[in-house]
Amino acid sequence: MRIMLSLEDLHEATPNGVSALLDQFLESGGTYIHLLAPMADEAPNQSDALILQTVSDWLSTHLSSNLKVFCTISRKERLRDSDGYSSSANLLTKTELIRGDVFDALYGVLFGLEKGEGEPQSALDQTADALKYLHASGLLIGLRSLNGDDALTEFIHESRLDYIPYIELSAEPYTQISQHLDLNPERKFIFHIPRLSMLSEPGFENSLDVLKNLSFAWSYAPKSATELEHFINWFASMSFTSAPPESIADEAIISKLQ
Amino acid sequence: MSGKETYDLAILGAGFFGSYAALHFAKKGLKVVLVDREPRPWSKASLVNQARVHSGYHYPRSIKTARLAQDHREQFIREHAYAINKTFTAYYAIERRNSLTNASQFERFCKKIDIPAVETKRLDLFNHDTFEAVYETEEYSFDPLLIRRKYFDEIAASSIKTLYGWFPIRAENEGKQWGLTLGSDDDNAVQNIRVKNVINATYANINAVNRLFGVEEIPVSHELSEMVLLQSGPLSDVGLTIMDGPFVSIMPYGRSGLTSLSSVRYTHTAYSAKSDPEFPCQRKRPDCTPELLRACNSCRVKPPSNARKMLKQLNTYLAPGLRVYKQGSLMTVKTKLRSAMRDDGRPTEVHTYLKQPFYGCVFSGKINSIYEVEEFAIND
Repeated sequence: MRIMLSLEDLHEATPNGVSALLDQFLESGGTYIHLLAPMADEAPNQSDALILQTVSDWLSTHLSSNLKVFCTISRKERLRDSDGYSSSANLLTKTELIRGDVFDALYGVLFGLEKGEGEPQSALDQTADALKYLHASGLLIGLRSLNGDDALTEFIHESRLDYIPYIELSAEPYTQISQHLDLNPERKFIFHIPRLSMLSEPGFENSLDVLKNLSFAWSYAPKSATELEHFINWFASMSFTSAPPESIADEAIISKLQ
Repeated sequence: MSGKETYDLAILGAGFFGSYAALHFAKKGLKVVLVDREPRPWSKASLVNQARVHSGYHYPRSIKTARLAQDHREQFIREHAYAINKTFTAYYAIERRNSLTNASQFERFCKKIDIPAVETKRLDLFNHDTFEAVYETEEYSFDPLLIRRKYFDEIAASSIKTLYGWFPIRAENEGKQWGLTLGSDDDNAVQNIRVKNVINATYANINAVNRLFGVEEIPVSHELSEMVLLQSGPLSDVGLTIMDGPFVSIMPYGRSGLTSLSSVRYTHTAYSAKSDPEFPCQRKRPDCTPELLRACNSCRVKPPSNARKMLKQLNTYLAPGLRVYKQGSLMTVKTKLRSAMRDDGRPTEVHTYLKQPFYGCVFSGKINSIYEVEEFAIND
């Protein structure tokens, strides 16, 4: 179980501010960070580009740091396969570009796998194929935005893709995680905390013991150094009070989450 | 690791040429070992290039290279159809002021080597004030990552033994075979193998490996090169190569939906005239030496990007208001024969130095030359 500093949504952040967060995070023992590749749209989000550049600069001046970077890469809007375009080539190329920015610190890639309207099955097949290849080449693969799409989930299951779901936690975590656990009871998750106030909500606290045992990492996007400190302290205060469940399909566990 | 495993053929360098050679000779029944210094091979020049399936247009000052580009072109396209992008329009433009060629020379050149070039105007895309002429041509691009994926799958399914993350540190001529000592960064491990034949396909480190085998060096120079990848709706199905001088070219980067940008003036961020690639950035990284180059793209101490300058230069040739967006860039060392300085030619060198035990090397910057490795007279 790990803590993850998410640099998503830091639209007001300056390069100095982002660097300070990275320093603070590393000094607190953190290892994993998450950012967005600024290439989802034709006109890249300038703040995402700035954050990526800042992380790149930071890594270039902290040569021995063991920071591990997860990056969300969105697929190109034009979700078709033709003689001139391949979803697989698009994902593989974008991954190499990110590697050019975060170097050997690239540890995992997260993909938003939403099936577009009219998207041919071959595009999805190619996407899964590229993800499997990236995983085989040593990267961890995360998926987000499945949106409860049963057909898509089934497709992922059939593609035998080994992945980590990235879940932005809501008041009903079971709904969010059950489809992934149905496919693989041993699945571990990246749980993203959308707001610090959630940490003290009764529903969240009730689920915490179970979620802890399902977590690969806990992610939060702090707006300030104070928020990051609060999150780090919360994480440090967590302890394993129960043994990992033998099976997550266990009715008692499910009932805790519902 | 220890022991002396014996192979028919060792191929040093698992980029495009080395991987193709490994598959070719394994299919002939040879016991092949494929060695690469990188744990993740195909991450240098095989990945970082404009992915152009040359038709010859690029070499108006070297008819020989232009004709060579056409050799095996159709075979390459046919056998790599899954990775070929034919759907874009490839334009060649003659710069109005500083070009080493002019429109009539270019037309004569195209006629001479029998490649189509039809003069055209695209006011929606280009700033024609900067050009003497623009031609619609026929040129394709290939997708390096789709080819890498396919080749690696084929290698994994074959009898080829892969030693990624290993590099040769000593070669001894034992009469009918080579005794090869390989090293690794992993706990400074060493292993010894015996091989009847060796092909050097290490590209930038070709001379360091030649020296290990006691053969002459090839006169080369090295450039630390950057290729920018762009996204632009109007240019997504367009290639533009501006001839012939310190200009820019854009090409669809295979089937990725992105466009590569290269600039003769700004792509090369550093130059090394030595036999082995030696650059200032290597002083900050002890495991990247002139004799054992590491992959630049994932290196934390690579030089700063020239992307802004390259984009600024590109924009002078584009129609006003046409926007392009940088998506990132890739960096590598490009190695050229010194003779290329004169005519910009890119001949492929396939050279046999020793017949028994066999030692040969292949050096090329043109992808459809891969078939030339089949010429090696390998002993089985």
